[in-house]
Amino acid sequence: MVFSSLLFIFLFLCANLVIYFFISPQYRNQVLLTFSLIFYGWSGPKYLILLLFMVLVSWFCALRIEEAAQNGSGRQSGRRALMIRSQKRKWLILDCVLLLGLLAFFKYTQFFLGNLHFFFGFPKEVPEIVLPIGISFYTFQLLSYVVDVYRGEISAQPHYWKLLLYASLFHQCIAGPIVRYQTVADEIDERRITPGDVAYGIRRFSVGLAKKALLANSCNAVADTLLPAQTAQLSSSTTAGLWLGMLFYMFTIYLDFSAYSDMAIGMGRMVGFHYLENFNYPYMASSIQDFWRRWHISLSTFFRDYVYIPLGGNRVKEWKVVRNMLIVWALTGFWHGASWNYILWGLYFFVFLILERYFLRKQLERLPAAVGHIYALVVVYLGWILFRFENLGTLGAVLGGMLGIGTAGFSNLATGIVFQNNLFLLIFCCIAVTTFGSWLHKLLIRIAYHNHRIPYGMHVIDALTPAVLLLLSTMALVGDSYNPFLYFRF
Amino acid sequence: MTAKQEIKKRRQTAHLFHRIQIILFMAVLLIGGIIGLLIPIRPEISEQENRKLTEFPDFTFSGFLNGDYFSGISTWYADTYPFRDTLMAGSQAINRLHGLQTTQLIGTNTNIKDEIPEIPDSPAPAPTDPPAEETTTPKPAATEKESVSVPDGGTAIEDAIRDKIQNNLYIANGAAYSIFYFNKEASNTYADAMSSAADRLKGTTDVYSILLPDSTGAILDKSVQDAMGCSSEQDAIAYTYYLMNENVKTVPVFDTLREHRNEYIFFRTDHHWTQLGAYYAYRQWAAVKGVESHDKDSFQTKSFSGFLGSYYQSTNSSELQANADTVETWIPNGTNKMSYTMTDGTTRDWYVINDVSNYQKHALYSCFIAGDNPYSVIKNPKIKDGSSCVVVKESYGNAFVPWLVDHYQTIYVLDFRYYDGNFVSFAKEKKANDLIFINAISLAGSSAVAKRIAGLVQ
Repeated sequence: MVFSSLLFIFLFLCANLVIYFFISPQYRNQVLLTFSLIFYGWSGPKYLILLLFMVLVSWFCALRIEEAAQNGSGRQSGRRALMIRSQKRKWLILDCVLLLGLLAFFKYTQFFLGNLHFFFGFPKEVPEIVLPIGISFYTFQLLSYVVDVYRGEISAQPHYWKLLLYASLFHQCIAGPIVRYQTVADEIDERRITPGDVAYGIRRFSVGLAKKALLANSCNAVADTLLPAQTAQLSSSTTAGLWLGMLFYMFTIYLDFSAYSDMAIGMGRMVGFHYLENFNYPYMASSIQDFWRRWHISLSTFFRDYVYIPLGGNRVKEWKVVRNMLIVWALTGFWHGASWNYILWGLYFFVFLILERYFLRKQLERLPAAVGHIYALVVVYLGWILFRFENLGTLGAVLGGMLGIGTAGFSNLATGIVFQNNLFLLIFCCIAVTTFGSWLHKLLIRIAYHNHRIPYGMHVIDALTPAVLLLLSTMALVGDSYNPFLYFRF
Repeated sequence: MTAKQEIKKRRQTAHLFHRIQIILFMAVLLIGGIIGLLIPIRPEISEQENRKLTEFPDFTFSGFLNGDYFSGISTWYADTYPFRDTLMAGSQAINRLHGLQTTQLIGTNTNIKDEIPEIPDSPAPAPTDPPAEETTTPKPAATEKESVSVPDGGTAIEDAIRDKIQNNLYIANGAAYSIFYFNKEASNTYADAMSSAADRLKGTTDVYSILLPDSTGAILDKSVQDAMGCSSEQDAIAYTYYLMNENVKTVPVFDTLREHRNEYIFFRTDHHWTQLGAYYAYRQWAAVKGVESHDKDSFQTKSFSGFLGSYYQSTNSSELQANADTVETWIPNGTNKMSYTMTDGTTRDWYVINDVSNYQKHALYSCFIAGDNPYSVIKNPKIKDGSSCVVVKESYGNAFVPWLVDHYQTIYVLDFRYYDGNFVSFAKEKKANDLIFINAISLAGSSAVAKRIAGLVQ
């Protein structure tokens, strides 16, 4: 099930909210868990077993780690402390090996075997392994939980089903944000819900839904029209069309992904969970380092806290810092998908981060702020080309095409028409990815409060917006299923 | 009011409006939820899209385990959501805000476009393996093809054709045009199939190939076609004809249609040609066959207005809606009766030109020869010379066949999409004088169609 489907909105979410708010508060977690398991099982009940198992492993290991730590509380001799540490470490390693092993098996086996097959002709056939939905997200959530217990930052969850609730919660289970256990640990047991929270959650959810249904899907359709799906199609593309198509893709990927995070954060807030922000207007970044502080924040902080800092971070010798960054960015790329282009994409950012660290940052600081913004946008834009094309042949062809090689010319009428047909969408998206909207909203509120003691007009608009956005999104979602059948027979 | 009271009042108002917001949102969500549960009012077909909507999936254990069953339910829920057509209209109104849409390009993907090879100045090449004497033995190449399986007809080929027509539409001045991309391999396959049929029927049945342009090639300015990046339909037809051997009688229709481009020879809202367009092609065919064509003014006419065809259906464009077509027909003199056999094998009597005044507005092109059926027969009682012909066609052929009625005693019409028999054997069995293949280049030049036809002449 995806958030942007009619079944999810009008059956699943509707039933979920109604039951949640009408049932006695003591059963609310059970309601959430039941709904989450149905949500996850919807994509294939067999993968539910995997999720249940991975949670079981993490729950068990965390309890053992805590038990070992408690046995060792108080003053210990050096030897005993060492023994306790090795006990704790044993359970941590077991958990990491099992979780990462399963992730690697489902996500990367095909990639590795495919490469072996390509280079050495062995194995003869590469088996097809279906990726269980959300595995990249909930594996990381569970890892963060066990590591945090190991570090003594949080206490282990004694109830299996509550940990399962955390990992499977349908708000964030399949597409993030990667919520840390410590963020929601207290809220699992006790949540205060105010009308203000629910209203905020509803606003956030409907903005996310509209972002996805009205903007991201439309941008995606334009990108698909302009960008070739395979190398041979380059002959009917134009150079300007490729640049324009990539621009729409750049919008798609942000609007789509951040829309999911908005909806997750919104749905969480409706029932009292406060998830951390996952995006902070990344296309307003002033450098690549800044971009990664604003883009998929939950993933970059995960790699920072669980890979980069444990490796020594930047408090080690210079060559080690470079090594640590290389590891983090190769992993970041690889996490996005089991394909070389994602690794290249990660390393591409590594190069710019290194450049910034040793050279560019100082230059950028001296120049007007606009230069930094343009530089970051251009680098990110070009990065999306690597991200878009999994087939390296097509990737090369498109890069060539963008330089005018192998296309049907610089531009043609068709490209011009696509541009005209989507001109307002393009302008609107340019505005939507900036802080302009929220700035305007704040400004209007300030003006309203200045002119009226109670700004009823603003309140009415704010109250109406979510319902209107929901209606418009519903239309767009039905519209997306428009699939006329050109008959020829009756 | 003190500052403290004012803050309190503001906070109370904010809380009140939070509640209103929640109630409004939940109301929409609940109403939407209840409407979604009203299963009896869910539509089963969409008139606007002219298709049967997704059915509730059948339960299978494997489908349950791998999630197919549930994804089937999701699709069913969305596809048959009540008031679908109204919501869709809303969605299209939103989409119109995306930009300036007086001219539009509607497409889902860029395409593969082959260069059309130059035709050498020398005459058409000799067949690679010319039969030394009259023989019906197939050429070796054709024998090798025996092992090739024939691509499925029916839905599979309908889908391929639909994609061809539906994708990449250019809408300007109230009419839609499909963008054509040349596919060299398909042209080769198609031309080989024509040559093979002609070789095997040599001496018994004349094989005619009529390749016609669509409205893009026939009507649109060359400069616009080039600017859109279309392949030249004129060159593609010429090249495909060039590949056929001399046993195939090719009918040059492109130039004639282009000369008449200012007349109503193609529909604006549909991909087909009009019967007038087909008339000009018919005159060319008569010239190649060496018979005199009948003047269109000697026929009775009937017209049906308000036609909103395939282009309108696939785009729902308001530009097209404002430019509905009229289907003009000329009724054959010899007979207006025919019979056709449906896919399920049942045969019905019908009319060559049927009165479709009461049909839905998207279906008016079906006035010609009962629309698309695997097999149809027209017997002209006014001709008693035993002459017969076989027409192998897709829907473009429908407007053409009525012009042939007054030239043969019997006309057999086979639609290659639904007819699974062999065309050559059929022509032999019926001792047909002529076997006419009539296709739009945009369809003949697509691999699915070319392979299907090639498979059925093997």
